[in-house]
Amino acid sequence: MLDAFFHGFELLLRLDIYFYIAAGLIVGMFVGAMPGLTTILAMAVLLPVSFKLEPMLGIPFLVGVYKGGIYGGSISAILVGIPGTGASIATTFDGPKLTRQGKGRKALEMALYSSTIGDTISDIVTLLLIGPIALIILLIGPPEVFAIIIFSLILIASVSSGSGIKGGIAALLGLGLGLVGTESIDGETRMTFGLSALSGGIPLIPLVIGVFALPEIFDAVESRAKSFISEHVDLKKTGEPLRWHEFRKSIRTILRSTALGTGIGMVPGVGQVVAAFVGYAAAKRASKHPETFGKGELDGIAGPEAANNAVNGPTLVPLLTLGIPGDNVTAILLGAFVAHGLRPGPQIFNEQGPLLYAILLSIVLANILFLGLGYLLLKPFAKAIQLKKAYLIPVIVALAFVGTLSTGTASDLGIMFVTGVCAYILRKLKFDLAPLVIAFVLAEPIELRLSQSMLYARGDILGYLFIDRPIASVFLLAGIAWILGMIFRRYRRHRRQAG
Amino acid sequence: MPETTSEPRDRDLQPEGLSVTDMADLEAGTAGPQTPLLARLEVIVTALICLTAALISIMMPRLVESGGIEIGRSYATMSASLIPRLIFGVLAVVAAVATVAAFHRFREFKTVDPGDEFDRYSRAAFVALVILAYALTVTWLGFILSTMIVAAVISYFLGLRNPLAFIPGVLIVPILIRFIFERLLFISLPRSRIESVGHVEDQVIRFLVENLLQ
Amino acid sequence: MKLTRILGNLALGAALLAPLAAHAQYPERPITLVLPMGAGGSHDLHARGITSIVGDILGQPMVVKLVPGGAGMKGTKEVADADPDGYTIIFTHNGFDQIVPQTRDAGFDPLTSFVSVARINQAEPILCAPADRPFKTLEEFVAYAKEHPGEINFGHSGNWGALHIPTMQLINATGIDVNLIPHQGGGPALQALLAGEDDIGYQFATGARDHVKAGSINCFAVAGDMALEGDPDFAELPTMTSLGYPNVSFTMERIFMAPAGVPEDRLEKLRNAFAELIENKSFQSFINNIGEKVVFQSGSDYEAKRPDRIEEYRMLIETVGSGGN
Repeated sequence: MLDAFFHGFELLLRLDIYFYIAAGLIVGMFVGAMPGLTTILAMAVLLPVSFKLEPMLGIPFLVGVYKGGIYGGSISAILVGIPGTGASIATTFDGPKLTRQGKGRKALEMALYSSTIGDTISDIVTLLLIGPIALIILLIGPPEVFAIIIFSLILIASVSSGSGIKGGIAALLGLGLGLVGTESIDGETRMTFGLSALSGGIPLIPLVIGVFALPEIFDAVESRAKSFISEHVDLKKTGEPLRWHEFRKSIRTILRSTALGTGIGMVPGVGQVVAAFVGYAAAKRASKHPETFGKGELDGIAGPEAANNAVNGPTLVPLLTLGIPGDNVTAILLGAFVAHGLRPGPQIFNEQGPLLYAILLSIVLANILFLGLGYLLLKPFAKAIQLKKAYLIPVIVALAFVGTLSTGTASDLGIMFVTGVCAYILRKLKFDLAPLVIAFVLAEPIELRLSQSMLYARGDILGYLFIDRPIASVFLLAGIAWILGMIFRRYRRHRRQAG
Repeated sequence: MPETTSEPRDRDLQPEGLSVTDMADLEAGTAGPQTPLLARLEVIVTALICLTAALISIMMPRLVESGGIEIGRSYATMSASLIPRLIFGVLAVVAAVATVAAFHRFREFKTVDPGDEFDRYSRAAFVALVILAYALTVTWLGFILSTMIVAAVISYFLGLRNPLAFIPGVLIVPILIRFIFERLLFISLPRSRIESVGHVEDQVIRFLVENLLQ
Repeated sequence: MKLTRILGNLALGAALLAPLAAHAQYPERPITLVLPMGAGGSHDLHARGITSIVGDILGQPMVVKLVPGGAGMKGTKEVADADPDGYTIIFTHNGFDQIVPQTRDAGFDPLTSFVSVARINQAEPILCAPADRPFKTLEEFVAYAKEHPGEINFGHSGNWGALHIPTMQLINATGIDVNLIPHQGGGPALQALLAGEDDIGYQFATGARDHVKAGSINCFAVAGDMALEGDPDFAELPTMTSLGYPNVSFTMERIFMAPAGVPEDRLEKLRNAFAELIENKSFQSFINNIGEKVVFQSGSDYEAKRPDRIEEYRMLIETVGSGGN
């Protein structure tokens, strides 16, 4: 096996690989920065292009698109508060505030460094531990996924700011909306009110654009300022790069988020969105000054960004070792492998060892290119945000429409509009809508996993849980312990106030 | 004040050091100062959420359309209605609490007339209407034409006056977007239903394709 | 003076609109290919390869548009409602085309809303189980299931999905009492088999192949009455018909459909394009690479058998479902 590894290394000594990775990264960043355009779409569109290239070029190309896409989403999240991908939602908590304070470039750099570090470490871990990770993945079944999702939600809820009641309403709304459409177990359709537009459920893209993009646009229009950056900020300072001492403070956060993201990457169906939220929540909990989060804290960028990139490594494992794609992105990669005659699965390391290792290594190396390209590209983006709103807003609106139309029908525009207006009103009323989005994303997996677990349990829930599925039990008990801890802490604080 | 009202305040983020009144505020679900208009709006919105949620919860079985299968339900003790019912039921309760708290807040502002506040949101409302019009006409007029119109309106509204400045954003960008997305990224955007407009669109795109892609 | 001006303007207008009067050559702009499913499945993969080649044949690109959701009905309805001008077609399978619309109020009638363009190939479900289970043949499985009613976890890829129909056919034919476990697609179902959480389930050859070779999965039989001849790994598999279950026959067919009402000449052009497609060398090697085969049937032939199929599936739904709608 070791010599397959070294053979693989030899295959990397070609310049054109890096050219294609770079091309993929650029396309990915561009697509990711557009609100509503998903990297999945870009990858699917570019898949035929990768068919024409040999696997050593085509597959790293697609992976480049994917990595670039995550960062591109962060660019628009930070600069205009519109997450380009679901993974960047948590970046909108602190990103736009930093931009308004003229620290847009610092935020972009922090996002870049956190992303590349998280991605690199997670890719290396995957490369080295691919066997053990594969075994762990087979142990994670529906009860485990359910327990891990619940635990993540508890963690996220424990650090959310603002009114608990309003947050609760947002989360419940999100859960309810997430269940509209076809039910996973029976196939019955619910709450569609006869609208075929809703028969597939409320589509995520129009919802995210409605919840994030439109209120930002309305806010920007409402304020009479000529540009997105606050007027009292010295424009000369807006291009200031990140200083070492500012970065150093977040190294712990980056490492913690990387660990969390790598772990979450092993759980099917949880993904980048949750990883980003968990990364943010963990950073806030561990911080000595949690009150600065949400008001322009660089650590609040490092947390989610490292985590959402760290998910990338382990998600490849089921694809490579079992031939089973864990999500849409890996499904497209599977297509790329298969179209070239490579069949990921138990045999591939024996049959095509060097090539596989070469591809994996190129994915690790792609991160270096990512760092370089990202750094070059973020300056123009940071400058672009200084353009007058009169130029930027029409373009943003047009792109929002393109994003929605690209994966849906004209009726999705209606969904986007209605969601946008409601979200704007709710935001004005001090509702924090982040819980809504995350609950929406997780509603279906929660119900599906719960139902599947009940089916497997055949009525004997406790027996099944504690005897057959110890991992799930651990997470559920940890979640309950966390809640009890939170209640206890609040109670103690209350007593201290009163006493 | 250049800041918008959507910033969370200090007190919301500090679990430690909250005064008793703040805790009571938080628990009453009314964190944050409201303006007279918003206070009224909050009562309406929370009440609406409460009633809608309650309605959905009660009517849930009616909202489930068949198309599913019953075999395989023997061990699963959850029907398709159970979890949504639960969710909307809890939502109704929580929203009811929020409505009461909102009403409390509203009492403070009862005497203040919210009339002048409407202006503040009129700009946003205008843009909202423009976007709605855009959504309704984009398939009929086609992407290029409708985007041009919307871009022109919004730019003008946001203060752009110099006719030359309109050219890049209003004329060039929509065509460019359609060209890039349709020919380079293979994402199809609506073509106008009005034949003459659609025909012009096709000519323009074909022109760009022939000169830039071949 | 005024009259000449009016006439002049009319002439100008007529001149501008003249190109419209000329008979348009179909296709003169890109054709949208709707896929009523999410990214990354076997359909998506087929579509990417197909569109890159058939675009050259037709002279205009064919652009894939994914519209997942609603058990395939969202995308299907979109095409059913689209203008039948030949610029919107759908790439789907017989489950979404003939079965699902009968299980609910889909808003369209499959027989009258669509017309067939071509069938590209088909995939036969194979019954598989983890290698460590005590049953190694179909007979042993049926016997075991009857001895342990309600204990067997039978996984499938989702309601009315391509792996679910043969599951229901088998249950009907044998009368066994199993615990049905739905998954979201063939991939997760396969993973559940590999992890040992499911005791049995159907899979397609492409998914199961490597795991059979690695020894983690055993295959018992292929649905239908045609053996997988020429398949390097599964040629020996007995068919359901030969084992005494002729009703376990569902095969997933990948089909291209167009909304009903497309002008004859345009439909003809589309059908011919696909007939040309399957002769194309790069297409054939592409299909080969992805581990599938070409089993072409022309649009007109497929259209002829659709009514019978719809009736056959209607009866299946009645025996299986909660009565449909």
